[in-house]
Amino acid sequence: MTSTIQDRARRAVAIAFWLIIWELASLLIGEELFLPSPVAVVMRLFSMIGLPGFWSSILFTLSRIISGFVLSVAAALLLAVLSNASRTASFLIEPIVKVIRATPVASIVILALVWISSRNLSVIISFMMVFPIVYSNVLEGIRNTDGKLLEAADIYRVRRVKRIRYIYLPSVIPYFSASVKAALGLAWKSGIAAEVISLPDGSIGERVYEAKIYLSTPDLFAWTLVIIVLAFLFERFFLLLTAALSRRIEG
Amino acid sequence: MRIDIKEKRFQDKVLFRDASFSFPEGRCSTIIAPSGRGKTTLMRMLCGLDRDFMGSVDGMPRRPVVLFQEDRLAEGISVLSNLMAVTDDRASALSMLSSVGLEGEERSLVSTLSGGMKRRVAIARALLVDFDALFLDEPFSGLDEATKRKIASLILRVAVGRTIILITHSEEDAALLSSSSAVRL
Repeated sequence: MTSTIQDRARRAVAIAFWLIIWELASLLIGEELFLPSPVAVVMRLFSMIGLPGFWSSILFTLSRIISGFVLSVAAALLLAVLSNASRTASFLIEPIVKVIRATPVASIVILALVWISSRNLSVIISFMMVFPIVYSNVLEGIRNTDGKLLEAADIYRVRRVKRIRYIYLPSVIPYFSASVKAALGLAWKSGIAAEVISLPDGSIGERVYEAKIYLSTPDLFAWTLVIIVLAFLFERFFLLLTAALSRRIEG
Repeated sequence: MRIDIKEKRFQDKVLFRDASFSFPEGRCSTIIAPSGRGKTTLMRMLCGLDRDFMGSVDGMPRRPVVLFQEDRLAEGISVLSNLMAVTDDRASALSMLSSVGLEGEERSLVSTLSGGMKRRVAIARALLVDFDALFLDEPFSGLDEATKRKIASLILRVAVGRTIILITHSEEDAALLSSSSAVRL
C-alpha cells in the first residue's frame, strides 16, 4: 500500500516536472504560435468546452473509434477460435493479418477512402489496426492452453461449455488483456490520423486540421489533450471490464 | 483387466516386449517400480490414453478416471471452480473439499496453494467424477503421513467395489490402500 502511494507521488512529481519544463520552454520561446504554455492550453480547452460542436465532435469520433474497436475485438475473438479449430482457416487468415500489420496506416486510409465514405473511415481504420493485435494474442493464448490440463479434461469427461469456462478462458484472458491494452492506444492514434486525412464533417480530426490551417497552436494542443484524456478513460474502462471478467472467471 | 503387450517403445527405447499383466476387477492392485521403468506408460496404455503400442487390452474400463502424477489443475481459477469443472453439484464439491481437509479454501486461487494442498484439490476433483476404474499415479506425493492415511481412507470409501490401480514406487503407499495384488516392473 505504502509503495503504491509512493509510486503515485513519484508519478505526480514526474508530471509536474515536465509541465514546468514545458512552461519554461514556452516562456523562453515567447511565441504562442510555436509553443503555447500549459496554462494557455488548459484555458483554451475550457473556453472550447462551451463552444457549439465541441461535444458533438467528441461524440462523433468516440462513437466511431469505439465501434471499430468493439467490432474488431469481436471479429478477432471469433476468427482466433476458428483458426485454432481449423488449420485451413488459420492458413487463410494468416496472410491477411501479416499484410495489415505491414501496411502503413496512410496507405490503408487512402485506399479505404476509395471504397467508403469519409464519415465512417475511422471505424474501418481502428478496426484494421486493432484486429491483428487481438487476433494474434488470443490465438496464442488458446494455443498455449495447457495440453496436460486438456488431457485431464478428456479423462474427466468435462463438457465443452465447461472447458471454455474453466480451462480456455483463464488461459486466454491474460493474452486478451495485454492485447487490448496495446490495441486501444493504436485505435485512437490511427482513428484520429484517418480523420485528419479524410476530414469527415464534425470530427475531432477535422478540428485538429482546422487548428493547423488557422495556425491556432493552442487549439491543436487543446484537442490533443482531449484525445489523450479520451484514450486514457477508454483504456481505464476496458481494463476495468477485463479485470471484472478475470475476477468472474476465477470464481 | 488384462493387457498383452507385444512391444511398446518410448522414443528409441523398448519399454515392454512380450509382456502380460492382469488386474482383478473391483479390487485394488499396485504397479510398483522405481522411477523410469514405465509405470506411468503402462497405466496410460491400460486406461486408453496411450494406444501407440503393439498389443491389446481386455476389459478396458469404460469410465476410467486418472489422478495424474502432476496435479493438472487450472492455476488461475479458484479451488471450487476446478471442482465445478467436473461436477454440477456444488454441495458435493464442497463436501469433497471438506473430506480432503480443505474446507474454507473454496475461494482460494489454486496458484496461491502449497504443493500438498494442490495435491488434495487434484484428489478431490478425481473422486468427484463417476468411474468404473480409478488410476492413481503417485497419489500421495507431497502429503504428510497423517494426511496420506486420511486420503487413503477417503479413496477406499469412495471407490468401494470398484477397480483401483495404484502406480507407485513406495511399498508403504501400496499398504495404505490395502492393495491385493502387485505388478513389479
